Amino acid sequence: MKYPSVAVLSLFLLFAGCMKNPSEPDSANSSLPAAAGVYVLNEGNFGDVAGARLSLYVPSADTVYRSIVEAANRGAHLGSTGDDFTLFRGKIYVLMSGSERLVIISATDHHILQDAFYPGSTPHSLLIDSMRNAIYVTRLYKNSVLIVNLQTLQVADSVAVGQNPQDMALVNGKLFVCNSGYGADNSVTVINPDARSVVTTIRVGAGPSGVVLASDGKLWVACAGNAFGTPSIPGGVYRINPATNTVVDSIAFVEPLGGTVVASTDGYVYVIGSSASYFGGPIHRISITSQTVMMNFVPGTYYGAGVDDATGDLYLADAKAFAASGEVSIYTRTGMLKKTFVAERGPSLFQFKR
Amino acid sequence: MFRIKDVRFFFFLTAELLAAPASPGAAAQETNAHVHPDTVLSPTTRSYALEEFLVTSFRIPSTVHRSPAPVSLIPRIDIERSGAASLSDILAIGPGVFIKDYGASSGIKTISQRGLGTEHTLVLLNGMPVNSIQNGSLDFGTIPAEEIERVELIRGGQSASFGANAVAGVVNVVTRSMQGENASARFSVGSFGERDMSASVGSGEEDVRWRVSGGMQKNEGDFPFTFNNGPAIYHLTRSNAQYNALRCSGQLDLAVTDAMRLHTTALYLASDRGVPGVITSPFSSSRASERDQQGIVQLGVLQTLSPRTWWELKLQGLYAYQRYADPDIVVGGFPIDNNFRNTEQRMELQLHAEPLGLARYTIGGDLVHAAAEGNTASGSPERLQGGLFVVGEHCLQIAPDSAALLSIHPALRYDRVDDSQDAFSPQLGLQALFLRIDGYEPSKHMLRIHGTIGRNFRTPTFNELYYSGGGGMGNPRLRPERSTTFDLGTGVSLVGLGEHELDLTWFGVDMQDRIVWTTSGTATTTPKNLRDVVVRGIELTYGWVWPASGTTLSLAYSRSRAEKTSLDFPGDPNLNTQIPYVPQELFSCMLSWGEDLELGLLRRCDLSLGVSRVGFRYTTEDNTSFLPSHAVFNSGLTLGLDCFGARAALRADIRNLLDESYMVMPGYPMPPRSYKISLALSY
Repeated sequence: MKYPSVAVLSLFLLFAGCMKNPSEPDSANSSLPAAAGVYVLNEGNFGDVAGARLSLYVPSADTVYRSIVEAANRGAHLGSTGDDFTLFRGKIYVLMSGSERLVIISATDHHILQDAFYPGSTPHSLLIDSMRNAIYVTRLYKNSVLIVNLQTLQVADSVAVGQNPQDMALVNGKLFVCNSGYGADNSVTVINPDARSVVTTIRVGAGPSGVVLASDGKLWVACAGNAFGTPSIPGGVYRINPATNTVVDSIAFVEPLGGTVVASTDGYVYVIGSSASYFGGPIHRISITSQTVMMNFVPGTYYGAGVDDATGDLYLADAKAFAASGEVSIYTRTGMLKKTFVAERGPSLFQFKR
Repeated sequence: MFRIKDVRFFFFLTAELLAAPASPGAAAQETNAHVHPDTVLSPTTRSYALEEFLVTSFRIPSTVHRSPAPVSLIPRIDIERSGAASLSDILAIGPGVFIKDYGASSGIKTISQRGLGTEHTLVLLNGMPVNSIQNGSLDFGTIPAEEIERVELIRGGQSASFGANAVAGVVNVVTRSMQGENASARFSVGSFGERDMSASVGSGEEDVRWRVSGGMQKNEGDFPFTFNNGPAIYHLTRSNAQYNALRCSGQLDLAVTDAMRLHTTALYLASDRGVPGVITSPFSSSRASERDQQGIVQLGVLQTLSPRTWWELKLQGLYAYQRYADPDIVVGGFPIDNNFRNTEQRMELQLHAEPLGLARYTIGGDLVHAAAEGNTASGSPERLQGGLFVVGEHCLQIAPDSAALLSIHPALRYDRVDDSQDAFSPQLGLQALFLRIDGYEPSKHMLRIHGTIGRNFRTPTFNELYYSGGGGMGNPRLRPERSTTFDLGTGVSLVGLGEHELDLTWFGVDMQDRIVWTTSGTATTTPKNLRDVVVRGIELTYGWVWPASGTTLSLAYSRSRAEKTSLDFPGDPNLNTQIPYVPQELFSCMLSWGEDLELGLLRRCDLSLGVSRVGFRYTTEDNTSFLPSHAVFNSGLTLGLDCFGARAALRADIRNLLDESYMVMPGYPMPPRSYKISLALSY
């Protein structure tokens, strides 16, 4: 029985020698401060069930807390692909496009307070309208906007818009929706939320993806263009007068843009450019008053941006091509680097808790 | 000092001992003679040691023991014992093979070997390449096991013989053939709405052999699974996972003259499936669907000019159609509805000769024209490519009166591709064989040392060059991927309480210019020649056949590490990290037992137990997230019956015996324990 014994022994040794699973990263944060801080929404890799993560940076302690939802909720995750979030009346509203889920978290202890799934909705961006007790959610692949009850989180209605709607802005009781079409659409739909109907459609550049209300009272719309059109379509920034629903003027770029736009209270709008190398691009700064553009105000490959109105600091997210934990860099309003910290997978959006 | 001493003695050892006939036609006949003739596990089924089977996919027909590259054969008998339903199930028991399974029948199943992608394994059908020109891949779940006589798995680079894609290995699928008059039918029912039926008729005389078969498969795929989110556990049911498939095939092998044979095969596969999609929430749902059609027609003529000289002409026509539609994803104003059609015409001509009896050579060439149509490609791309090759085998006896033999296997191939770059692919293989000789009666104890080193390449696919289906854009400036592969191994054959085969191989791949789809600018992806990859690993295989007890054991273990060794972009932090979605460790084992019986109608009983363990896979480039390892046990019981003059086999399978909850790919749950009962009848 020599050879069978060898076989059995080999079998045992093979099983015994098999590689063990790596240990799970420890996401527990022993205590989270209730101090003012900056929330960072990390998208996570596409398809990663637990990919969306929320980090908290507390400048006063110069400390970063990662996976704060998991830490406060016994390992429960937000879901897959965190695409948008907002801070409203002490609660954080987080929208996951992959999981088609809206999660509401306490901004004090970060416990999950409420959540809702919207199967088949392909949600992308959210916006809270406290006047109408509503949450508006763009449906990226359904060409419409959901109107959700702010308290019950039940869907109240839906309004058809243009192709692949992304970012929204609410001004003077009107909802402005960017229809990106990934470069195939060039419109902003104006909705009357009370009537839940379309008021008009404004033509802008190709691929409107981001919109922000700036200190000049105008809506600044970042049109990404189409990097992969034949030929490629360059991006542009369009200014819309929300009172008249008309385009005031525009700034043309020679290359496509990233589609993100943020505004500061000190007179600037920032847009993300594009880069051929990987996800993201440099930060271009536009003066709101003179509309002069400072190209490559912050060189790099940034995937998301936010402005802290209290300090004027610019928070820039480098997603590291989703191949590693992303980094957040903090720049002063003059473009000086103050601080860099490691966030989680695919940092993209910021909310500031006072 | 090496000396060519006694060539005739050498050929006695190699050709007679190892039973390698001169021509592939003879090889086919020889091989088929060892395989039971019908779809039913025969009452007289017996086991055969590996060396009796011939590897017909080599340019020079060879045996496992004679090959410098590590080779594994999965014969029909093992296919039946494993209860495999498709090619993916068959390969899952092969050494070093990782099947990327996206779940249940409707999920796509592709292959990964030696830490590389599915596009790095060349798939042959009866020796002719069938990888998709569109994406370099093949859905191994669509090829039913019922149509497969055996699978030959050559591990390591083989571009010098076969050209593009043969980087990680070659899978040659040999379709069923017929011996004797036969008609058979099989019916199966199983868990989650599985229904399968097939029938075949054929005849196998010396001069004419033919077989016609057809079948259909239906599967609802609505299996339960659990979804965890921290403390919350959801018990869900997979939906939109239905799979319907239809197939038919025909085969004719005709002896035109004593020296010329004509062989033709036709295979048509069609499937219609739901695409259940990735599970990212308890309410994940999908209405996506995919429709595939594939037709392959092969014609081969082989003429033997002398006992050791033959030529062969092979023609192949291939048609492939795929349509993927998702009404829930609207891009540019329209729901996704992507489709493509590929047509490919291939011609191969090769001449085999053994000049002066000192060496064996095959020289030849192939010419391929491929075209694509559809809404996922820019224009209607076409490709014309041709290759010339010479493959040799030189045999040397190391010293007089010695049973130590050395064979050298040089090969060189040149490929010209009109929409890509040319490629030279040299390869050198060596093998030393040590065996004990008692006069002219060799012992079955044997030690062999084998190794190969060579250059290989992969040509960019149509998708990589011309894709325009939304979400990405092809890159016409791509270069072929180049790689150097090597393996060095030792094998032992022992006899005693059955026959034992043990082989241990160390291998490596050094790849440059690996094509990677990368995001660029506005969330759109495009492929680039970005990456260098280094793979090192070992493969261990063990086979034990104990005819006296009707017991066989096959075991395979591999351990490898595939690292990214270049930066994808400036500042890329992931250098020397493991390539994601590829396990570093694979283990498979199959134990089977069979016994002839005389209990009323019961004539035979066969039992099999298999286990397949897949090590953890990182799911991120920086190796911070992973899918845990899993082990899946499958078992089968077959009862052979005499039934009113017909042979019958009643088979019961339990898959995922221990009800392991697992995923092979993230977000794609696999079925729990399931059952299947089959009845096969053969006349």
